[in-house]
Amino acid sequence: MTARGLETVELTKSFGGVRAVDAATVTFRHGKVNALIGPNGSGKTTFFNIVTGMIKPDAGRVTYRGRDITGTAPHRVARAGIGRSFQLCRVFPRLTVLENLLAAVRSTGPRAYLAGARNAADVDRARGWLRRVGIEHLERVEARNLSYGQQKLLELAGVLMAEPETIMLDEPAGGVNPALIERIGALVRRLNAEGRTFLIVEHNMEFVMSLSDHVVVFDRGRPVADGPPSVIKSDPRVLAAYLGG
Amino acid sequence: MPSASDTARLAALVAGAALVLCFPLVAPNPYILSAGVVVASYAVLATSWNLVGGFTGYISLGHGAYVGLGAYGTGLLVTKAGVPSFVALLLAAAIVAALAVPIGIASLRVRGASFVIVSISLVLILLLVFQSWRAFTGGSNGLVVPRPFPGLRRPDHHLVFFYLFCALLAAALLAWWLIDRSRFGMGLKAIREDEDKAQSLGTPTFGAKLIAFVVSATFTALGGGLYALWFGDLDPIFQFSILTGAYMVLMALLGGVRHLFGPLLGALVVGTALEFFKLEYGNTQLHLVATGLLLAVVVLFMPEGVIPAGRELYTRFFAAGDSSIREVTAADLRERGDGDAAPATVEVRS
Amino acid sequence: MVSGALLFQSIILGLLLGGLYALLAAGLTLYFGVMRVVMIAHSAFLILAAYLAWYFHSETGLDPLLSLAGTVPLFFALGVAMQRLLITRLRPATVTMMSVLLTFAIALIIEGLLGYVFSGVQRRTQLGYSGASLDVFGARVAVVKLIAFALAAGALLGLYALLKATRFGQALRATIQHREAAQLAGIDTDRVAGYGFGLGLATAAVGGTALALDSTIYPSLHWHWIGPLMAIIVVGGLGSVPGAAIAAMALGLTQSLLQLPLGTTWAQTIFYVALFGTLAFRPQGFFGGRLAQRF
Repeated sequence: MTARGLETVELTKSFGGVRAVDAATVTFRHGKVNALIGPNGSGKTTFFNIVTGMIKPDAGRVTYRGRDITGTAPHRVARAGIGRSFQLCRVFPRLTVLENLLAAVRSTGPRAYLAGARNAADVDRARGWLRRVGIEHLERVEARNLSYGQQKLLELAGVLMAEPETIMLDEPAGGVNPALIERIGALVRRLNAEGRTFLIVEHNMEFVMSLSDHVVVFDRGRPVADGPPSVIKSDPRVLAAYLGG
Repeated sequence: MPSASDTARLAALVAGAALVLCFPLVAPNPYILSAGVVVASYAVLATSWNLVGGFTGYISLGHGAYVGLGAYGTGLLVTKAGVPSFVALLLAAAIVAALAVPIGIASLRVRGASFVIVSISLVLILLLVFQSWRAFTGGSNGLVVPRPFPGLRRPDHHLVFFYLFCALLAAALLAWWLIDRSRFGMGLKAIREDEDKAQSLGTPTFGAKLIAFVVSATFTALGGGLYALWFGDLDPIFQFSILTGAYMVLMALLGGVRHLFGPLLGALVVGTALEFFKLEYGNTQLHLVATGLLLAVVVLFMPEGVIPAGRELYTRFFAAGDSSIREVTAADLRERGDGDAAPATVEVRS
Repeated sequence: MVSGALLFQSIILGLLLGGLYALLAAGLTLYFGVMRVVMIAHSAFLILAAYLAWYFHSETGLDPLLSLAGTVPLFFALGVAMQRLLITRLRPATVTMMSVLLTFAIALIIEGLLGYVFSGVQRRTQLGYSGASLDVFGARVAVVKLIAFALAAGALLGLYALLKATRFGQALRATIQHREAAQLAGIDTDRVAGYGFGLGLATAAVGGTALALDSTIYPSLHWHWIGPLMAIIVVGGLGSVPGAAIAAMALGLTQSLLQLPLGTTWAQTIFYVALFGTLAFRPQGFFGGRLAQRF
């Protein structure tokens, strides 16, 4: 029996007259690489935003490891063990690469907060992550001076620095060249082997199919198909969703 | 192992502090000395403002509200409740700290321009209240605060308060420095850069903002209260002053909000200019024009402060360096790891 | 117990005041709509226009309303110039925040110049008909207030007609709603934005002249208008001219009615209460509908 991970039940959110997420009930496989695919406008990013607490749903529930986290504040969702990246890569522009990671260190209690940010333990851990993604030589560069690809790696390193159990990536392969996509894919595989759960929204089908264990297809705000990549690839409903119908 | 630049920095700091402390001895007359007190008070206020403005990026144009609350709080405690001067100062600051909590909770719910507007509204409404509540505050007739050391002659009075303001400045700088190097400060800076992302990483942004806000308001109130004890004569229109709030923002922005001594630098430049202006041209409205122009220039051309702007100008005109993309070879780029040219073999190490 | 007549009088005065607020708020909405700029200096320009009207009258002896012929085009040109030369220099990522600081600086400059040129002495325009009042459904209303209202209402209607019925108005509304889409449709959004700004400042010219008819003016008066105006656009919901108009009438009326029990000074606090309340409970405002945005 696999552990319970991230699940949603009848999750609904409307903006004006548009139902962005429509009674979405999804169970993601804990410990696996899950993919969330679907045409543009199918509600994937809104779904992400609701799960991570940035938007409050109109109805429905989000549970993680059996705990109801619906409508919880984003920082509490993060502290529950869920990390996320953003569709349009977000880093802290005027902080250096190292500082970007130090900002992800979690403190609890006044003593921890008042401790020095650049303490040896945190800096070493940060450098470790920078080495893993391959940008440790850019430690002192301000994030806004990095190339887009480097920023994507930085964002990923920052998310990992916070030691999340489940990692939600919003279009990690978007806007980057094939070599970098390869690198990111390899990193995901490795981290998953180390026990981390992934939930990846992507349009790059090759990336998704080669990487994921479980695929959920979204169309018009709700899941229309789910299963392993080999099954999904040939599902007529998926084709219909992408090509319209 | 302290590096050469660290010792150089420390030496500069000690030298600077010594210079500042010697100022009263070289001041030619009591008027200059009192101008020095005013500049010192500006330095305190600008640094206090920077505790919230510089760290969180929430620009409060209404920080004059806390100056006024600190000043009137101290003044009223002394005159109406007979509390000894410096006890009143600390008590007033504590009261402002307590008030800053609900004010902060209400104001920090909104961001950016909304927050600025709320801050302006706060100082305007306090001005209104303090002007109208004549029975309690003396209204536009003002409030006279008795001096804490009645026996002192004026020059010595200025001297004592110059050092008191310096001490308060040192405390404010210390607070800023402690926050800057701490994890708490790191969280605040993350909020400044991208508040939503900071939240997604686990930073309790609202609580962090609130604490910075309250600390800033408290130090500002201490500055205002000390001013009340020094100047002795309070009028709502000068205590709850949008202009003072503007000065604080201008000084901090000009000097650089991301640096410990930025606001102090700004206060030195702007404060001295203001006092000079007053000396030469008397109390015309032109200092409003000058403040406005300077603020506009800072916002348009050097929002990061005068030092980074100067550095940028310098590199643009003087530094040969690799600022031009033409002059960098592909090999250099690969070495630096620019673009995604870095080899994939890096992964093997991890 | 307040007499019915006094109450009725307050209501009429509140409506007249609301009309003026509505015109000014419309200008603010335009600035934000086209450029995402929060124009704190709008009320400073208002007072500037009032000073110009007063000065015109005291120098020429002619009715200050005639100064509109000069101030409206002047302010329009100033608005376009400001947009072109200043606002476009701000970085798009932080334009709203920086515009607050920049326009705050402009407000200080205007106040300083006014104080320098005209000194801080309070000015008042005395006209032949300054003291006259009319009987409106039983309430005595000063003629100057009626003229001010007529001016404001006329300008608002003109603005409304411009926005709805002309091609320029259409282009302006399109630019406000969705700049990129407007550009794709072939609209020169930069030029339209400039004109939109000019239009906003022109409303300040009209409002200022209306103000000069009836009020005592002094350089720092603009701070008394910033609070109310900001409150109106927050309560009304930004981006919506009708929303601002409704909020203006509602708040103007409430202020006028509150003057009876509380007096003029304390009645002003209603704006701040409304501002804080709206930001606390419904930051996107109450009357803006789908167009309303948080800023």
